[in-house]
Amino acid sequence: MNIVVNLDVMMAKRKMKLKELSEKVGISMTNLSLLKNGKVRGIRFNTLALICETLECQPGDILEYRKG
Amino acid sequence: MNRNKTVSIALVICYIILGLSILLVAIWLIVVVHWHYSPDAYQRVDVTQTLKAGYGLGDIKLYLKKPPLNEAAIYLNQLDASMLYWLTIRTFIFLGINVMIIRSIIKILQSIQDLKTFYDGNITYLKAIAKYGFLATLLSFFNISYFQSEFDFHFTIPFAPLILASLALVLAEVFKEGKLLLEDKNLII
Repeated sequence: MNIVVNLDVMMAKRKMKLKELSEKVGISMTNLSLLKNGKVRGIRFNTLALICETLECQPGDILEYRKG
Repeated sequence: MNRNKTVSIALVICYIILGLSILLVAIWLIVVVHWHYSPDAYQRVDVTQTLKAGYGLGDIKLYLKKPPLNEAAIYLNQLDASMLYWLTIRTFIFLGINVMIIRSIIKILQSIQDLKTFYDGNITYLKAIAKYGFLATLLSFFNISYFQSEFDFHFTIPFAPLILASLALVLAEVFKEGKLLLEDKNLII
């Protein structure tokens, strides 16, 4: 997949566990885990906005494009 | 709310048809048993259409008064026991197929009510309905009748079960597509 999800990196920087992020964002741990492992098909803007607000970061901190 | 109402009405209709199918089998069995004791009680029951090919028993006419003069008409009391048993076997087969189709439709409707429209089970049930439809088509395109020491063969093209089977197959494909789209949607968080 060309879009790499760096959610675990951001979570580690903010010292936030998956369960806590799940409760604050309102998304199930299963879905967040799928996102973290890059197994989702896409992410809605409002979901991305909630994650960025909670982790105090920009979308580019969580999503990265890699060639090839 | 409208969707639930539609599905509920459809379910009620299915249960009524299921009940009627079972009732018809019961009535036919009672008639067959009673026929052995009193065949003349059925001299006003015209079964001419029942002996022809087609899905189901065809038209059975019951005349309350003396039936009109019709030399070509065949009445239930005129049939041989073997012919009556053949009609009974056909009854069981066709009503059995009806019951299996209606049961599959009920299961599909119940899963739609539970908001599981595009799950694998429904695709399987639709394919099963298609199989029953094709089976009904195969069994109903011909019939053999034996009356007054003569065999007759009847052929027809049973469009109704054929169209039902084709529609069920198309719906199975549509539901398969729907399942893929739902899985895709569920992977967008």
